[in-house]
Amino acid sequence: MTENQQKKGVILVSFEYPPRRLSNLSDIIQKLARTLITQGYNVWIVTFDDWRSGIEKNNKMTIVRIPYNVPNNISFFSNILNLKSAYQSAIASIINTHDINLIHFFEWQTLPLLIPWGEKLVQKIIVSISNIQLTRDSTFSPYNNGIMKIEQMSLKTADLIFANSDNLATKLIANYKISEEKMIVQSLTDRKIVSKISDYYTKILDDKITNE
Amino acid sequence: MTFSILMLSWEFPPFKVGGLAAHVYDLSKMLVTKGFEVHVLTCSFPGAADFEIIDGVHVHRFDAYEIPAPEFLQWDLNMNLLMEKKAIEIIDNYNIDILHAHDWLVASAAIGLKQLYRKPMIATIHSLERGRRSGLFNDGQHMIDQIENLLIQEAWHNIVCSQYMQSLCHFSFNFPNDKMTIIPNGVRFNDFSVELPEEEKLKHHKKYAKLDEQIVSYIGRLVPEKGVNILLGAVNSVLKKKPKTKFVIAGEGWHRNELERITRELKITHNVLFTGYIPDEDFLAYYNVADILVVPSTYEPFGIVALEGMATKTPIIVSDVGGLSEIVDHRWTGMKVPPENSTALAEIIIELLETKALREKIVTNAVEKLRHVYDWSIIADQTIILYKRIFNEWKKHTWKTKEDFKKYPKTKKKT
Repeated sequence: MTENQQKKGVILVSFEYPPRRLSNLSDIIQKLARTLITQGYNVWIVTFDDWRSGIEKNNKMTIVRIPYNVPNNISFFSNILNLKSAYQSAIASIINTHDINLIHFFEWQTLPLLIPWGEKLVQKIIVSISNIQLTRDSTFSPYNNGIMKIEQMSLKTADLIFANSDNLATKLIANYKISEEKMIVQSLTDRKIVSKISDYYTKILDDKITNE
Repeated sequence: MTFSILMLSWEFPPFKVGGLAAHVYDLSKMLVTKGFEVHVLTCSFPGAADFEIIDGVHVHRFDAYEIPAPEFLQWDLNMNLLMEKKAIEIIDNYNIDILHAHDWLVASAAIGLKQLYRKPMIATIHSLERGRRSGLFNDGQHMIDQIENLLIQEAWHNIVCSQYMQSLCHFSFNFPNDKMTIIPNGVRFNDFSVELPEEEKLKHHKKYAKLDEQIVSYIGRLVPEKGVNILLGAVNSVLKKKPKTKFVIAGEGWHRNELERITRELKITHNVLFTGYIPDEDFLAYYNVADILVVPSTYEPFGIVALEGMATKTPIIVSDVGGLSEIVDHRWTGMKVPPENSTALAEIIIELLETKALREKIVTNAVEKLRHVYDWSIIADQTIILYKRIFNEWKKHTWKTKEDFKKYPKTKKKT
């Protein structure tokens, strides 16, 4: 931990965070946040929960649970897009009042806002992704194609992408035309995932990441 | 100070779906003549330029179909991502002071931009889903309703077109009245008040009716809330007294088949003509040959077609609902009938067809009211007053980006 690192601010944006658990990602993010705090980062979590919203200070981190403004939806796809402005509101409030250096988005549900904002945000943008619509359901349909296009356009704005597997990384490069230079394979089941991610934070914030 | 406005509207002429396009065009054009810099961001269409200046208005277009969607509502949400992306380019290239969003269709983009730039966002609420549908009956309608609510809450200030819309927003969303300003829609009086030569009138009259027939017209979308079925219900009663009357229904909509079925069932097909869309070049003539224009809506946040009728000097009969009630002063600038009442409508149509003096009085008074209330110049002035007030409120507020805070530091109170 250096003097320089202590001043750095990170926002972790996720569709799940404890106590809401949809996968092991929820706990990984919590562990990552705690590790980052011990390393001297200021940490914000921006997340969604069906049952609660509000701002909570917890173990030196701030958890912003966005409000569920549009609970009636025509599909899960519309639900995700209708959460966009609430994520934006939370992120904008933080970046306008604190020094934030890096924003880490987890999974496609948080990505749509990167289509308009990705190029504009001055912070480093990292995305962690474990699956894409192409791997979930590759059937040719306007629904699937719409999600794929959103994933593609938003991922292109990231500075660094953690793909969950080699196979996924290959698909992102081949099908979504994502630059290979941005891609890092990082399995969610890797026991050292938290320390590896935090190492990457240090490198990217010091501009030391090239093609690894 | 010259203000720079960014209007967000999914439609803009020549791409027109409803009345929104014309509203944004007329308001923008008038704001330009009053010294404002106006940018309109809107959806592209085949053959359209990405950027052009129309009557002084900077019109920016983007490909609204880049992200595939299974149906309209999802398309709209996807379109908002692309609109917001394009808007960022515009805001970064021009010095935009105020964001002005038109209706729920652009809500997501408007809210995202407001948050990113911390600029005052004004929303014009042209209508509400719960009014358009006479309630909320499925997830899609509930979703739109919630998006409308969100836009209204997120806007620094809202513009509504009538007292009726103000109270609908107030009671629907428990929204405070002091965050809304009523600014009516307008009409381009000079364009609409052109009277065709008699010869030309006759030519157009023949398109719709025999020369000895009087014409009772409707123009608008053929959807249930427009109440065309109420007008059809009045036809037989009118024909008993005034057999030489032709009812001409102009416009299209998904309700047309049902309306044509009603026409057959009532055995009035000889006296009712469905014209479909009226081409732009015949638009004025359509009003010019009408002896009466009927606006039988069951829901109408404003009722711009009534203004168009007034401007073309056509006597109007409107349902006593929504904004129509506010536009028309009964027996002075038009005639009002209780909504969904074909019998009352028939009586008023007969009275007006039979009483030339009443028709002339109504037309004279209607033109007078148009000039003093519904002129776009007056409406633009009211909008400018609001823009300036909101901008001054924002300047004094702490809710700004760091850059704007340096530009407009909070004024210290004198002690």
